[in-house]
Amino acid sequence: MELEELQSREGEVLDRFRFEVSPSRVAAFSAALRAPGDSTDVPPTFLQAAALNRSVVPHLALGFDAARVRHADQSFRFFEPIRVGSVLDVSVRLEKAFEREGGSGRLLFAIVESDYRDGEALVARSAATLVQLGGEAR
Amino acid sequence: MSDVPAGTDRLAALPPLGPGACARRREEPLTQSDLAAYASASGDLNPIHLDDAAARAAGLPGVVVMGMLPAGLLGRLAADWLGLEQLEHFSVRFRRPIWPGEPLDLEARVEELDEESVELALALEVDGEVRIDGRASGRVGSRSGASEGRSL
Repeated sequence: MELEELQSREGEVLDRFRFEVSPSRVAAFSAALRAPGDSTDVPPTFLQAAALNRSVVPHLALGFDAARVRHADQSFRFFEPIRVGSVLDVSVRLEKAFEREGGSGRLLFAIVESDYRDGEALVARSAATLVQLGGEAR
Repeated sequence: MSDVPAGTDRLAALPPLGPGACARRREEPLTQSDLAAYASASGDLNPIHLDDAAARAAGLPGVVVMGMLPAGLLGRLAADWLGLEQLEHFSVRFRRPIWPGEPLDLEARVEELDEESVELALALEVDGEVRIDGRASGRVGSRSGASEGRSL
């Protein structure tokens, strides 16, 4: 896959869906992060559970070779606290694509951003940097 | 101490949020059942985190921890310290893989603090080697508990 091809898709919406911050999801996620049993906090990384429950996988939608893809970094920005019981409309898009030369060849990067809205209000935005390691495409 | 709810002992162990203050937490090594629980809760069902044979087929020595699981432990430390309601930003970089059975040392350090905001540098180390680093920032608020004992 060429960088130019990926860059031509910058801004493209890869997925849209609705995600409920349900008590059971939060409880299971909190327990998996070893939160105290009585905690009702929504862990800061909880929104990741929204993305991973989807059948649309951003790096595959972008044509990355799954065997060579790594998750380089992840960020979350909260404009409002995430509340249990909220129903969030999620929009996932390719924000930016770029490449760098690495020790083992060309590294292809994609920054995938997700917006989480409660009605009209943007409550959070997450960003994942995905990198496809160098090597022959399969 | 019998009237202290379970779990608050770890919160109470965090130092006041002051200039240069550092909060540390040691987590027991992650087990394969921890990985299975996180997979189920997060939806990350990639077999390289769950099945040794699949991991080896992908060129790994065995199952590798999904980075978002220890990143989530760092996120909880940041949120416990700053206060979840105050947290505005949390980010991590995955520098090296983490394997089941490795002891995890988490650290959050106050890098900037003024009347309105606080910024933390975060690190997760195994035997002194940084595997994940990150940042967290938030408002300095008056919510009870989160900023209690804060010294400016």
